[in-house]
Amino acid sequence: MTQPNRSRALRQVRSRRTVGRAAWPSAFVTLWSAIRRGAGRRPAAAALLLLCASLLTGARLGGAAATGSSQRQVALRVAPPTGFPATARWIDVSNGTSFTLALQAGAATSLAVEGHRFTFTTPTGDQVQGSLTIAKLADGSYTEPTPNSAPAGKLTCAKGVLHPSKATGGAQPVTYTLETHFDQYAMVAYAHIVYALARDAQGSAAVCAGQTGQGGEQTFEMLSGCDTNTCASPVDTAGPTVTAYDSSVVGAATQGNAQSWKKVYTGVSRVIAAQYGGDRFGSAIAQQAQKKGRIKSITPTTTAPQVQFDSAGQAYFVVTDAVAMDKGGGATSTVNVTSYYLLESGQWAFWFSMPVGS
Amino acid sequence: MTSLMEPIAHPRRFRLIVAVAGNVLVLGLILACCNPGTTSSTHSRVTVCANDAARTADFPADACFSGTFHAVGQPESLRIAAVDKSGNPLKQQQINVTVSGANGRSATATTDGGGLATFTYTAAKAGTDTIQVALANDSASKTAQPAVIHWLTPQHVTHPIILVHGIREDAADFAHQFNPGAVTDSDQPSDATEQTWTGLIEALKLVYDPTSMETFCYVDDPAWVTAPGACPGVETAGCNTTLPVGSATPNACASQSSVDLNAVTLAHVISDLSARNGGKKVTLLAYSMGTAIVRTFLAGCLTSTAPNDQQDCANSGQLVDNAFFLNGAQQGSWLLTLKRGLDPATLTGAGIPAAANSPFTSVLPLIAQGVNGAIGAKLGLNLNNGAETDLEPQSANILAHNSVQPAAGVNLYTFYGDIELSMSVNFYVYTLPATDTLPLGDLVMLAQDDNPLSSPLWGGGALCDSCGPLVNGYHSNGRYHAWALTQRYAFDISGLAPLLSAPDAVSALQGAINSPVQHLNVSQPATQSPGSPIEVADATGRAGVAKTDMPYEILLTLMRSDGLI
Repeated sequence: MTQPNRSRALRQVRSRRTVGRAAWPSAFVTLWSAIRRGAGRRPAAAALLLLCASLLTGARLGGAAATGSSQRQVALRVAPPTGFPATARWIDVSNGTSFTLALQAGAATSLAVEGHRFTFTTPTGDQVQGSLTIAKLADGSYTEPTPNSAPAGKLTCAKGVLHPSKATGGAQPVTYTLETHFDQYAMVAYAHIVYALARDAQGSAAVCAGQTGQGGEQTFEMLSGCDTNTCASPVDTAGPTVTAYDSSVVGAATQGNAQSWKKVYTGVSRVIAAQYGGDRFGSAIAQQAQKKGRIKSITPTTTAPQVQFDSAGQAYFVVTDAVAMDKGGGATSTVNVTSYYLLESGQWAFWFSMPVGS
Repeated sequence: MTSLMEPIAHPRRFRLIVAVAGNVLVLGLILACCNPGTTSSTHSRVTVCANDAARTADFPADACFSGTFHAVGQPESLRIAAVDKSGNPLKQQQINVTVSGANGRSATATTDGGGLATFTYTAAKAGTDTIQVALANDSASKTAQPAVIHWLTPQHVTHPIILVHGIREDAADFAHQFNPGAVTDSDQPSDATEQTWTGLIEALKLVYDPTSMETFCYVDDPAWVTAPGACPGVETAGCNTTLPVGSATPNACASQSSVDLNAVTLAHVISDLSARNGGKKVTLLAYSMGTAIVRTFLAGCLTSTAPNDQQDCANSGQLVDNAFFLNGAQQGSWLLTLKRGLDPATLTGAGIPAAANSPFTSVLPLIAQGVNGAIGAKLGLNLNNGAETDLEPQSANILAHNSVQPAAGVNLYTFYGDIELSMSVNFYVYTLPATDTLPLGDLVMLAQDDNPLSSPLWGGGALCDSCGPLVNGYHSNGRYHAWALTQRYAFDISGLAPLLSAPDAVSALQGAINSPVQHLNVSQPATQSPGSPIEVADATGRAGVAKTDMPYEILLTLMRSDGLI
């Protein structure tokens, strides 16, 4: 096996490994990948995929979904975004990486080939900045093109800049290869970067040769709903995610203990997850429930939200819910809230709520 | 009889009347017992402010603040305003005035037809007075914010001082304050917000000889157009003085020239001023970009390649005794890193995970855009100018001046903004209180790293070498002293929702953006005047209280180093 091909194969193996340790979207991606490879692009495969996605979604959100008593009466269908963000931003919590890519704001169907400025952020906060050329694939997704002059599988070797988070050396030129893949809406993406300082001749040569372990090469991966071959479809999973999530919340409220809320925790975004551990989240919510009442049901009043990009290039959508509360002693009330869901690490995560009208 | 029978014929109506009457009676009793009456001034308010003499001359309508510095033996006027609970002026009301402190006394004043009164007194002793006012017939109306006057014995001590202002500022605004008779700024009447650091300048002028104080002119300073006489004689203009001030045209006078160029010029100004004052050492006061200029100079102008420049800087470095950094660009501004297109998710604080694992990873880009939209636009930052190139964190200039310790023998006093954000999250109908705090410095300069030899990716404005934890907002180590101007703001993440679609929308960040320690606000009289809510620990032990205002602390520090106190 040549070095470049082995490298790519290793990366694919590494991608699959994430199934066991990371969240369901990676499993989703791998499943989709397997279906595509094994069954071609037949409609049956797509149907199977959606079925599996729903099952995975429900499974991830815990047993509460099965025991919950959500009053959701309307099937939630989420519409795709109408255009690309000016700059798309994806994060990978498992690997501690993030990736931004300048696109064309508002472009609805296709992107220019050249001149897409990117930043790849490593877990230590170092950022590699460079420029990317992209190519559109038959399924509408985008990837970096293989240079005509290069051997099959070889990536474009380019010059970029490393901005170290703390080092005293300041910005330094680097040699890098960037393998990337993102979906037709720029909602989910994959990026794999290998770089070496330009002054590290051996490392730079290794980077360009698609080899590692020769010098000071650094390798990082950002998995956010795609791998090298396939991308998940967040538009399809959004509705089932919300349905299952609301069910898990109602189920946890019914059980009414910190442990049950801990299951709900697995579906929250980093703004909550990183401020609270699962235990603290559970006890904090249980305390609030004692004070404000128990959630009896969550009923959507939005039926077709649309995925949007915020000004930072992150995909989100908004759902309005009527939340019925049991205040104890037979007293009930209904509160209308708007809940935001953020696409984080390739999966929809509960972001935050706000009262309707605020 | 008919009338007597009516209630019987309409028992429900009768009960209603009785019920209403009963409630009215109870309500009446409550009001009679608990309400002091409609003429009560329970909710009346009385405020007091001290007229700033310098601003009174230039901006009389915008010259009264929470306090001032004043000369012993000279009368100082305080303006008192009284309003009722509806905000209407309270006419002909007697006001009790209580002065506590060095010149304690009691007095009364009477409001005029507009609800205003003036109280003037002359202090015999140096020290600090706190002035409280209240309506004579309502002690509960006592002002929530007393005025503070620092009475200083006028002196004319010779100690050369140079103020180095910030980016896009006009040296004439400050030169005029130092020497109002000698410098007339052609655009002075147009904008009161230009006249900043007023309290500090007034304080210094009361103790030190104003003729030994100068304002450094950038080589492309607007002062070369607005008031060329404001610039030190040893300097010459490096910009086209025929172009409008602040013009985007290249070589316009806009205070956006390179830090390196200005640092070398500063070395010559210091040398000249010291020579004109008998070789006395010079104290530097530097705000914002001025700090980068001073740091570059104190590092020896390392990136300057012209003959003699480095030697000139090194020589002049020996002529400096103190450097005060006021919200300074020690490591550059994160707003410029942002302009480079880098992902702000790596902007974190102590104990907060970096990058994708930060609790703020999804909101930092929004916060960054919100701050940049509100403040960056006012700063008018442009990466193509020499100043911004040098002020970008990890620029060649910053890497150079942070590669060595500042010149030996110089005492370094740093005041930096420390706005800390905490973010709660609404979860359906529940609220999860914030647990982590995001430090954002003064919103232009961060405060994450104070190592003099650090050059972090997102820059910063703190400086203190191994100073240990802050105590009462202050820490020190040898010649390094630093004060954190800490202000905490809590918001709910949903308050950022307007930023999702519009980076410059008004959002929950507004409180922090309006903070008195925000980079552009910190120099304003509302923050700097004695009695303002922004106080710092008194490290001199001479203020008489544990905390005092920032200009008084600077003055006391300087006076102590000169052996005046």
